[in-house]
Amino acid sequence: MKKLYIFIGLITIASLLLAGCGGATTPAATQAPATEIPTTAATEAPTMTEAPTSAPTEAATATQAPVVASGLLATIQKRGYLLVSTDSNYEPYSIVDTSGKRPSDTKCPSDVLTTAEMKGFDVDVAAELGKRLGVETCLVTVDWAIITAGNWADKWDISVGSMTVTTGRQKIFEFTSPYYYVPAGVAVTKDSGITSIDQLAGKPICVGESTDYEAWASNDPSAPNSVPEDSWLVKPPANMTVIPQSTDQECAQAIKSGRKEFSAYATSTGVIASNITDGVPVVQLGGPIFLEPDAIAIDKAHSEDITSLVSTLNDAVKAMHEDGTLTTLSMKWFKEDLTQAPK
Amino acid sequence: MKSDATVAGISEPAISQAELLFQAQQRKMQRFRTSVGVSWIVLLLVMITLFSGVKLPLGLKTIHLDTEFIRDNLRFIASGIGVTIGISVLSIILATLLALLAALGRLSNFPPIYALSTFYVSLIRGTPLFLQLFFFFLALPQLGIVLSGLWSGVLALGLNYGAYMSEIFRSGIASVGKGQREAAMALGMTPSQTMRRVVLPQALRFAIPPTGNEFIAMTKDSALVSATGFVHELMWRATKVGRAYFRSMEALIIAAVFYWIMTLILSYFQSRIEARFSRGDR
Repeated sequence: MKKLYIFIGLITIASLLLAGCGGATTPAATQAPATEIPTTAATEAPTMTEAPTSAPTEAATATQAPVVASGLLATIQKRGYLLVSTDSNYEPYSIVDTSGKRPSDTKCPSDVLTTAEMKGFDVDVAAELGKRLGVETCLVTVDWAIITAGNWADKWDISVGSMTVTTGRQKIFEFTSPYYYVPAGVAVTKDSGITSIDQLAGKPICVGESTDYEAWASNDPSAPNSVPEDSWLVKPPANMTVIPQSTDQECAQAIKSGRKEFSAYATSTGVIASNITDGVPVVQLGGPIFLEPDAIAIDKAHSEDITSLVSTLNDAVKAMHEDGTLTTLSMKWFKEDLTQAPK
Repeated sequence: MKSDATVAGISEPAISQAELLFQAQQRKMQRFRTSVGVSWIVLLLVMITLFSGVKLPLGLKTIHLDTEFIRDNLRFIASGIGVTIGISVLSIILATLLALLAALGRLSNFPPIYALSTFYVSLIRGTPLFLQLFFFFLALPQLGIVLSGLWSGVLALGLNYGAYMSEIFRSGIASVGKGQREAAMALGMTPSQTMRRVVLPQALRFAIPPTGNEFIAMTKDSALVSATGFVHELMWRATKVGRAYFRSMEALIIAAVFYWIMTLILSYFQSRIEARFSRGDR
């Protein structure tokens, strides 16, 4: 029996090391488990790490607008990094970059990603925001359902994940002004013979569940996930059978694998273009059906005061609109400028 | 019976009937094992051909995979194995402890303990695992307990599987004949001695196959832990890389192969433990 206990004890220690070491995502880090042991103990604790000694100089060059850093903003500047949640499912918004190398001098804890390990429009915007706050940006890839539920228990600071501003969400999040507007569109399979949106009346359409695309397809502008009805450019056809999937990428995958339950799906035009490049046999049906405003979300339930962070981020977003940074990023990732507010 | 050797005048030990029978039985088992092995290899080859993308005669089709993608991203996906194993093993240990306590609690005559174990089993089995993970990750901090993504996951998995496994252990304990307990009492053993030295060893023997099942299921449920964002295990890496390059099928197949290997290893240990526990019966 004693041998059994020793065996179990050894396995427990081994698995603790494995689970802790495996937190780093680059191959280089996982090849050296021996050197990871000291950091494992540190990161087993809650996510906040010690403040770096260079904090004072960073804070001095941090904010462009003379906002007094207090509450969460002060904490972020003291710790030296901004922890951003992003939903890593969508090319070109936010996706893992397996060719990126994690910088060795990063302040990011070992269980989160650096901006080098991810790529996309949202990632670049998050990195730029961190720069304007004078800190490094670290990314955490939380499940979208957990991000949109709010009450993040202070586990991360902000969400830069193309979150659409909806009435339901405004109750639990503080949103900055939108950093871009995503045109939504409908994609149909090439062999469906559908040439205009009204021909979809009575037909099945696939959407990501609980998205504004689902609200549009169900013709339900009062749904908490819906964008305001006055930003709908095209009225949804009557009596479409709405088929929700966990994400709209599942709709594209289903079509790519040849499934025939539906021949149309609704999502952002950027995702449709990306799907077409990746070989999904669809075309976009006409122009955008609506423009959704996407903004940065901050949890209202954060234990620290978020007012100075929100106003600083708002100033940063405004500056990024005015000096053309957002337009440049939009052109880079979407080949079109989506950052202009609808007139 | 004289063997041919003695007829020729050379002295040799006589082989008894029993030994000849035993050797014949061994040969039969060996043949059985070899045929099973060959069948396994044939089935494996059929599966590999199915995914090889080659053109077969008779117009049969096979599935084409992007091997370049597999080669480029194998390392990235494989680096999640350590985390998956780590989470699984920690959860298994926690689940086994809780299952044993809950099963014993069910047999208790002390009302609060009986109530606690039945309440635990009912509540945890009746609610989704994702909700439990969510609770430990985001709701506990409101009570002042802050757990990292990894530890919320281990706790949620351990608690969840502990509840299911407690029923397995309970049925194992119940299957030990009443006569055993009576005999132990007659010998003057205390209840805890009876449990430790008579009932549990016999109960565990019946509990091992279903428990092994639960362990294998748990290695796949460990994928849920990456929903917290701070853990990047095997399934997370496979789905994210698959989504990034629109090669979900290839990426998930890589993950599937690794999960299968882990399952094979667990099954091997399970059969070894089963053999050890049924030593008394052979």
